[in-house]
Amino acid sequence: MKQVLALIKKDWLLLINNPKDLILHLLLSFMLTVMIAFGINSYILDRNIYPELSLIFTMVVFVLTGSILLSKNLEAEIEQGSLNNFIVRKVDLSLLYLSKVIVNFLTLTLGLLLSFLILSLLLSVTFINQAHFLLLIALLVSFAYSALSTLLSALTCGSKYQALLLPLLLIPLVFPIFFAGMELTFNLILNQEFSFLNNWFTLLCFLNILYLVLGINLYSAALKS
Amino acid sequence: MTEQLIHCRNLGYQIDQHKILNNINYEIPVGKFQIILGANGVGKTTLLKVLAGLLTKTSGQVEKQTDLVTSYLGHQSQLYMDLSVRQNLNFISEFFEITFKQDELLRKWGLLDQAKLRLRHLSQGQLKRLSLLVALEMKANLYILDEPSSNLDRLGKDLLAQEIARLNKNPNISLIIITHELGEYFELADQIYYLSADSFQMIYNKSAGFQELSVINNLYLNLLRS
Repeated sequence: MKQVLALIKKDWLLLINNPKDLILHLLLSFMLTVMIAFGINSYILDRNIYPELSLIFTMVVFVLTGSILLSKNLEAEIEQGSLNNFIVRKVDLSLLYLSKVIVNFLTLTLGLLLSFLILSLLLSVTFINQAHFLLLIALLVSFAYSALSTLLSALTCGSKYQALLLPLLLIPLVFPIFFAGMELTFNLILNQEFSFLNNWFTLLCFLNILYLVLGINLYSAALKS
Repeated sequence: MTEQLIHCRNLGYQIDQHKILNNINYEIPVGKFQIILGANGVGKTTLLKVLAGLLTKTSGQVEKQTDLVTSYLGHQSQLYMDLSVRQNLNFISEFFEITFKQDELLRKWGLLDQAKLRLRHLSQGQLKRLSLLVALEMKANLYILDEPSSNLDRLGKDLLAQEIARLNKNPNISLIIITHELGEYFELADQIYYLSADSFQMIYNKSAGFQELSVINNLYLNLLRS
C-alpha cells in the first residue's frame, strides 16, 4: 500500500510539474463543450431532449480529450529508463499499473465533470435529483476507461505506430463501457429510476472488474514485451 | 572455493539472426570488483543487461543466488526528468524504503544548490552525479555500472572512485563496471575481463599476482588492435 501511495504521489507530481497535458485536456474539454452547447442551443429547439443530448456529448468530449492523457505518465517511466529500477529490483509491476489507473482516473474524471458542469449551466439542465446516481455512473465509466486505456497504452508503448494502434484497440473495447453508461443515464433521466440490479449497471461493474483484473495480470508482460 | 553470486554457462543473446553474445562463461564471485573492457559494439552493455535481468538470454544458463539484490545503472539516468532532485530522492526513498541523509549526500555530490531544480534543467554531468548517488545508495549486494564516469568532471570521477572503494571494502558486495578508462579503478579491481565479438576472457586476476597498470593497458590495446 505504501508503495502504491508513493507511486501515485510521484505520478501526480509529474502531472503537476509538467501541466501542459492536463491543461490541454481541460481546455479542450471546456472549448468543445462550449461549442456543443451553442450548437444545441442554436439548432435544436426541443428543450425536452437537452438532458439526453448533453449527456451524449459529455461522453463524446470525454473520449476525445481523455486520449491526450492516456500514455503520458508511462512515457515518463520510459524516457530515462526509470522502469529499469523496477524490473531490476523485481518490483511487482502491477503496483505501477494501479497507480497509473488511479492518476488517470482522477484526471479523466476532472475533465468529465468539467464538461458535464458546463453543459448543465449553458443548457440550463438540472440533474439535482439524480446527481448522486449520475456521479456514480460517471465514476464507473471513468474508472473502466482508465483501467482499459492504461493497459492498452503499455501494450502499444513499444510500437512506432502507438498513435494509431492505441485508438484502434481502444475504441471497440471502450464501446461497451459507454453504451452501458448511456443506457443507465437515459433510464435515470427519462424514467427517473435507478436500480443496482439493472443489467446495464451489472455490465458496467463487470467491465470495471474485468479490465482491472486483466490490467493487473497483463501489465507486467505488456511492459516487458 | 569462492561463493558465486551469478554463474553464466554458454550464455548467448541474439536479436533475430544477429548474435550479440555467444558462449559466454562468466562467474561473479561474492565481494569482488570486476571490470569489463572491450571495443564499442561488442555487447558489453547487452551482457550487463542480461545479468541485471533487463534482457532475457536466448541460450545457455544463468544461475543466480537466491538472495541476489542488484542495483543497476545504465546509460540513462533512470530518474524522472519532470521531478526535482529532491522529489526524485523522496520517491526513491519512499518506494524502496531507503533512508537517505539527503542533504549530506547532495552536498557530497555537489548537488545541494540544485535540490529544487527539475532534472530537465540539470547539466549532463549533474544528472550523472544524481543517478550515481541513487544507484550507489540503493541497498544491494551486486552493483552493475555501465560507463559510470562518462560525463563526470575530474572531481566527480574522484568522488565516484571513492564511493566504489567504500563499497569494495564490504566483503558481501560485488561490483561490475564497464569502462574505457582503466586507470580510474585499476588499483581497486580484482579481475579484469575483455569482451570481443568471439570471446570473453579474463586478462587480469589480482589474486594470481599483481601486475602494473601499464602492462594491462598494453595488453588491452593489443587486444583492441587485433
